[in-house]
Amino acid sequence: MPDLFAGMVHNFLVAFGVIVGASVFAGVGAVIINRPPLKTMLEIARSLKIWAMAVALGGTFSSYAAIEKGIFAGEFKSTLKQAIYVLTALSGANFAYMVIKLIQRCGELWGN
Amino acid sequence: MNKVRWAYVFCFAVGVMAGVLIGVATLNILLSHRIDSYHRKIAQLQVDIRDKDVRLEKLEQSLNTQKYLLQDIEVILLLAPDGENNAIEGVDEIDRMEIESNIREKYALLLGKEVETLDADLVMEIVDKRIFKIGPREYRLHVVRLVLSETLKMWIDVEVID
Repeated sequence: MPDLFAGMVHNFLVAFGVIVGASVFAGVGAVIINRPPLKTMLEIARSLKIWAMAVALGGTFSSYAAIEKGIFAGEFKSTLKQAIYVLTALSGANFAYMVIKLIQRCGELWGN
Repeated sequence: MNKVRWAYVFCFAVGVMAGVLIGVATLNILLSHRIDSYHRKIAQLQVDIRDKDVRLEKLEQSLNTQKYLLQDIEVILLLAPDGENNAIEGVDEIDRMEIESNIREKYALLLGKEVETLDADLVMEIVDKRIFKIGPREYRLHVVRLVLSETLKMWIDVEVID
């Protein structure tokens, strides 16, 4: 159980970090090339969500291999574990996207 | 002794680099909304200038004629509500202006022409079902309503194609 929890925390934060880091530095890049930074940040955050999940799961096919093993070798526990990891990574990516959207909302409040 | 001095220099350089990165990122987060609003304002002003230039040119050409002429084009874009059709909330303002500007450009030739000589169906066909590609996204336009008088007024539905 502690292993599962550790994996969940790890996947959540990796996915979160991928989105937040990529968006923030894409924003810096946008300022340099004279593009609207917030729009760029939101676009990057939106398009990277699925990749953040893949990165969080290790960027390899190990998860898919585990799922395959679960289905064909009857190890449903590992399939369930991978499913939980995928869901956690997805939540991390979505939470990061919400944080980027929060910057926009705060900016609107601050700007007005 | 020399090794210790280099270690301090190295630590200092790493600190400076980390500080620069954190500072730039923080400043970007704090100012991004304001910079975006300036971009929007600049885009809006550029569209205004372009429209006014075209209008002025056409009106100058048709000056001293007493005919019923097309003097202005008004485009009303009906965008999907936030979040629908993959529209990104609140930041599509620049795309909206770009679409509006493109539509106006398509109709710029009609400015200064006699309203009687214009066919409303043909006018409508110019942008109806047309696809615009702006940045990474594509938009399809559907003309919902059109009023042809001295001002050409059009209501256009914008659909985001993913």
